[in-house]
Amino acid sequence: MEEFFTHADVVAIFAIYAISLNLLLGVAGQISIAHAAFGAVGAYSTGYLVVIQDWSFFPAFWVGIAAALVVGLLMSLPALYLDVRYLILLTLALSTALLAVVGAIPELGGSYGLRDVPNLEIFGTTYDDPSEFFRPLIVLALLVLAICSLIAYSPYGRVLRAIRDDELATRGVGKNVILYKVTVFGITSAMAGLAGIMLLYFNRSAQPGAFDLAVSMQIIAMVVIGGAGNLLGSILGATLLVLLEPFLQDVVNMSPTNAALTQLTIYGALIAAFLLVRPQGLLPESWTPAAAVRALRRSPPERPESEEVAPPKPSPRLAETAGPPPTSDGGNPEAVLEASDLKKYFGGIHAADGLSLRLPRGRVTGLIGPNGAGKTTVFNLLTGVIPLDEGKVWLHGQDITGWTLNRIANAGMARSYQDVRIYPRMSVLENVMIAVPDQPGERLPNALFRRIRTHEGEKEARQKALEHLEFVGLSARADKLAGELAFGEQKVVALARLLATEAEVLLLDEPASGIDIDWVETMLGLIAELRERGKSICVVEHNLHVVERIADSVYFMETGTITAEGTVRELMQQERLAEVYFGSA
Amino acid sequence: MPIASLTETLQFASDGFINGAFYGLIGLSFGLIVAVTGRFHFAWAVAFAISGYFAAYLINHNQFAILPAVLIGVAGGVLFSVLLELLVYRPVARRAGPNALLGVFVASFGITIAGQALIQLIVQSRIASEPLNWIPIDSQDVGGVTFTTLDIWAVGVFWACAVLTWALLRFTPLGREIEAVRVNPMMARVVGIRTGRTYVVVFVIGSLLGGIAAIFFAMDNAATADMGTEPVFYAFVVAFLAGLGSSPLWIMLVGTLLGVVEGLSAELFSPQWQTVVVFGILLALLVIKAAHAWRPTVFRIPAALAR
Amino acid sequence: MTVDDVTTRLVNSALTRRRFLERTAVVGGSLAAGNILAACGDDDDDGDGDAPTGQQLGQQLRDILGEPRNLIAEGPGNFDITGSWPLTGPGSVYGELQSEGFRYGAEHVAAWTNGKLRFQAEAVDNAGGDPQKSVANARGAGLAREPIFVTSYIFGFGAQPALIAQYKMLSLDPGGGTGPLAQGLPYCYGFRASYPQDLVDGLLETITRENSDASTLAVVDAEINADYNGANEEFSRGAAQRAGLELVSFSTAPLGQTDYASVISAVKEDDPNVVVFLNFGTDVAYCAREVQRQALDATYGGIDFTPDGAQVAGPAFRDWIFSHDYINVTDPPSDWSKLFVDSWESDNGNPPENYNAAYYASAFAYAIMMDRILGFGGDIQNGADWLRALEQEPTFPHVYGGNGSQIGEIVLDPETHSPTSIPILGFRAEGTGSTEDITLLAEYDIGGRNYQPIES
Repeated sequence: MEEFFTHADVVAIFAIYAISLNLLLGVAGQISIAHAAFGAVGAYSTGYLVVIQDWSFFPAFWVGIAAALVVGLLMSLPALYLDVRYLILLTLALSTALLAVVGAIPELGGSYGLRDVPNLEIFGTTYDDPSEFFRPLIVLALLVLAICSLIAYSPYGRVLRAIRDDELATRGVGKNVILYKVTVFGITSAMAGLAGIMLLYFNRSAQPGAFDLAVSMQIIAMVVIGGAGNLLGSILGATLLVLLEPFLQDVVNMSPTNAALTQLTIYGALIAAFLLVRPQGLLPESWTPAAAVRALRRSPPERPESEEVAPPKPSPRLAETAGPPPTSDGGNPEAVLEASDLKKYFGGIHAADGLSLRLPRGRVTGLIGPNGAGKTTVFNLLTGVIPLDEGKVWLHGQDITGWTLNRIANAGMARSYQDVRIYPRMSVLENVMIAVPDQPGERLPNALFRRIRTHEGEKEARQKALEHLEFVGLSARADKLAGELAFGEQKVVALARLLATEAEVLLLDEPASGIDIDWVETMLGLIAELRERGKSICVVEHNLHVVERIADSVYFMETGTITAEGTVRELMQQERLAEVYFGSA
Repeated sequence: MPIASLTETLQFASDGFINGAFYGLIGLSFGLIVAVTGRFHFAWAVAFAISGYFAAYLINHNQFAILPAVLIGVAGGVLFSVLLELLVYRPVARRAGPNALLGVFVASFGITIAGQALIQLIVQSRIASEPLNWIPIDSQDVGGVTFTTLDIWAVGVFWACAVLTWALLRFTPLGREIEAVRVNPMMARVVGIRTGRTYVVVFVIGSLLGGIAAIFFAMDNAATADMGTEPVFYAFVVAFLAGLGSSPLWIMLVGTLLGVVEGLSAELFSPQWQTVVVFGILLALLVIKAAHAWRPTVFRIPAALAR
Repeated sequence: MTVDDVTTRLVNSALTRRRFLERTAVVGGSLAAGNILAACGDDDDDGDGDAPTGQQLGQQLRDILGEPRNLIAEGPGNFDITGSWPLTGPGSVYGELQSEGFRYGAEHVAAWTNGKLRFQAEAVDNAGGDPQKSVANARGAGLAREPIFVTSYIFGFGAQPALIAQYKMLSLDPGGGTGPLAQGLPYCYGFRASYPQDLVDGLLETITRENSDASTLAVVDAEINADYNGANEEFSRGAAQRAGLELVSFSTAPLGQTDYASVISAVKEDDPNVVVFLNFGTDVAYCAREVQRQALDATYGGIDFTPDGAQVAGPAFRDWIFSHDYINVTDPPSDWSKLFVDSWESDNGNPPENYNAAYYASAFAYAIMMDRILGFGGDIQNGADWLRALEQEPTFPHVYGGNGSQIGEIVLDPETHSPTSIPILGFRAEGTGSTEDITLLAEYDIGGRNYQPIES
């Protein structure tokens, strides 16, 4: 029985490691190979206090967790601005440096480590045997699972997944990605520290070797094998990899050295083989016990989809308004967005060279020009994706120059992208829900402690999202995975997502490109309707017929600056512009 | 500054320069593979060990002549790498979809564990370390700074390999093909380049370079089944520090710099702090790089580092 | 046709079991062969087959060591025991030597006791002192209620003592001993000279005799931690003084590396004419290569001389002086060591290595303790009784040292839990790459006591 609990204890400790790493890696998409090193921070901090300073467990425990939290937060800062490959290097360097420092500090015992760690004693009760140790351990493990589950399967978790799948788009719908990343790094590091502390007490000693890179890589293997993004899978992964070694020891029976080597060979080969056979891991991300039960109860499979996907029927109102734009009236509607003298240089290239424009309320403004004129760059500059070298931008009269992308989105200006950038692994509904602002469940305290409020907020967000989907005519597709939709549908979903931000200024980057004529009609109808609702819309388009139909006025842009303004017809009558746009006859 | 201390500094720097050439070559070997194929080829450590260990073993125990044994060893490492790409990495990457990077990383990790154990199982040797005695390790002294004939050969061969690789990438059609696949694999496919074949070629070149490094490593130290574990680490660091896709000559320079810094830090801080110093510097560089990405105008860094 | 016949044929064509496996060159084949041979009982049956076995062996051992009466009368037969050894990882050469040595000891103990005590040693891997695995091994033995535990690597680099004490398992470490940091720990006894301090005085004595011009000493220690290295530095200072040398530098070398250029460069700076290395395994061998590379001219000494290290160092070890509690295989001094060396050689085709011998002797020490427990009516499943048996008379026979019918001894100290006496050899390495090629220079005890030069 005790032998069973010996294994169970190690499984539980590594389950804590794996579940927390899965939150960071599988859900939030941040790679770290320093997870075990955070365990070292927790273990050594607590161990030092208990062994050298004679503290009792409880306060030392909290200091250990706090230490791991702080180091995690510190590491997250450079991690924010490094791409995935440098993130691996950063975590590798951190792990090595941490363990080297720990090994060099005399009080921590060098490679010999901290010894004489007493048995775990919490408020007078000692936990000597593995079976006794299991009791507080399983409580902590379940707590970690609960916290991570609450985070992962809440609106907060949805934002994390969105960050994982497309960070830029997530910033573009107004989420403060930095805050999310820093928070999740901190929380998961603290949990790793917790695992390290429990390992300290289980081993009754701490050595650098128990927290090195090989251990971090094993934890990654547990996450990947269990299923990245599925927290229950991490428990499975931990169980499998922890139990594999003793299993092989029992099964492989030969001379001691050969046995050990054979076990290692099989162990490594099984890991590789598993990735070959089931690289998505044991449990796919969306699998939950509830989902499995639902799947069992489901009626016969749905009819196969017809190949041709018809564009959504626009709602009756649209049919009336999808026509030529109203002629410009005499009044000059207020400019919701104003940009003045924007300048941006990439070395010798003047992407923006003294560019000014204004977007009035309730109007569609086109932005046309030859290839390479810098039109998408303008959008990037306006929304803060790229910093300006010079110039100013005002939104609703407020100076937003230098604001971040998410701040601008929250202030009321958002954009769509040429390459659509929807979240393929989320449902259509979730794609739109993510953009709904002010969701209580997206704040961590609410997600963890105010479940009712989160739930209410979620219902509200769902309702709003459905309305937007209804508007664009895609409510029937709400539960489909966005990645499975046709390109045209995806563009419409992206538009719905944009609308969900409730921004007044909408920058649409080639909304009509890459889709056939029926879809174009739908798109135009939607844009017209939005104009009716008072949105200020700017459309970058190559297709002049499209621009002609929808734009109230048009800016002509070449080599980083606006050189002409007017309707399409007016501009195309100017020979020089036509030549610039189409090339010489 | 007393002369004795200058000599000592030069000694540390010289040792660092020699080590640095090794770091540069393995950084190039590893970096080329990762840059072009995107595979996180952790099992490079096993290919390294196969090359060095089997060459040494064949010489010491099977009475092979040195050159054939070396060729066989290196060929073994190359064969292993190619088979790994065809039988493991490619299928895993294909099936893992969005998780391809991690999937290959973990599979490679598994192969490394299995590979190192399997080498020992196959060889069944009581002695774990096999020296490779070929180029002499006799001491040369220049103004109080010592190095060996092997060191001279090593630096020469490593830099020659780097120059040859640079020339290959720069001036030959194959090199252009490799560059094309590195920069835009989809586009390369569109213009008719068989990217699968290019990947294999890159694995061949990369593991060839690694094998050469392994032979010299075995001559300098001794060959063991796990001789690749530490070098793969350094290879990784150098490859990423220099920037994936950099010129081979730049990678050699970065490796050399790393070696010199490591050598000098032993003098300044004493050997046991070497690791802390080197990785501390690496951490600092990454923090600076991140700071630059955050506020480019405030934190300026050399263009090469900004990649 | 038995396995013996097959292997005799193979031996006659000058193939050892290992070479046979290499030629088949199929891993599956090697594993299968290993299994078959293991199943047939005797793994290493490729010597000349002359070794005494069974009754004959038992009688010879009883003649030499005396009769274990209580065991012969009431021995338990099979007795489960766990050995925590580095079967994989950086120290895996040690693991094989140690586990084979213990297994051979168990075989001889079985013969000695007429089969009434057969240690069934389950070998578990500590992967070179890996703390996680070391703990798991100790805990496994403890949960199985084993009263004794065989270990290595200074009790798994200090990871095991807490559990050994918790589960009360008498634990001998003939591989790493206690070192300065694991002394006096409950139930933990080092079964070899405490490394490195016990070996230094004798080493310096031998060195100063070989090199009468020696005056300045540099010491390079294995980098473990501040306490360990600090204790060794202080000790080295004293030892230098006792040997009439001036300690000009004390430095540390990181464990498990191959590049010691910076360490040696620093030593070179101090221009010593004696350099003593207190690190072990292949580390000291790589230091030797570096010394050769940097042409540092001095007299060299070390305290660990292993087959792997000798192979790596090759000629770099030439003329190095070593001080080591060691088995003298060229001229085994006592009847027991002769019996051990001869039968090992005949069974295995090569002489025993040092770690074979150390663990071999420990098997007998355990057997003697059990004999005592049975003698005072104790419980052989109770670790406390084992401790009592040890402390009752902490002296055990050893295959080191001795002379003819006088058997060498190891004497343990109930305070420090480390030997106060064990035969130590001082010798010069010939630098051929093999541990067999050494020239014996002296024998002495811990701290260089009772120093006796050996005339060649």
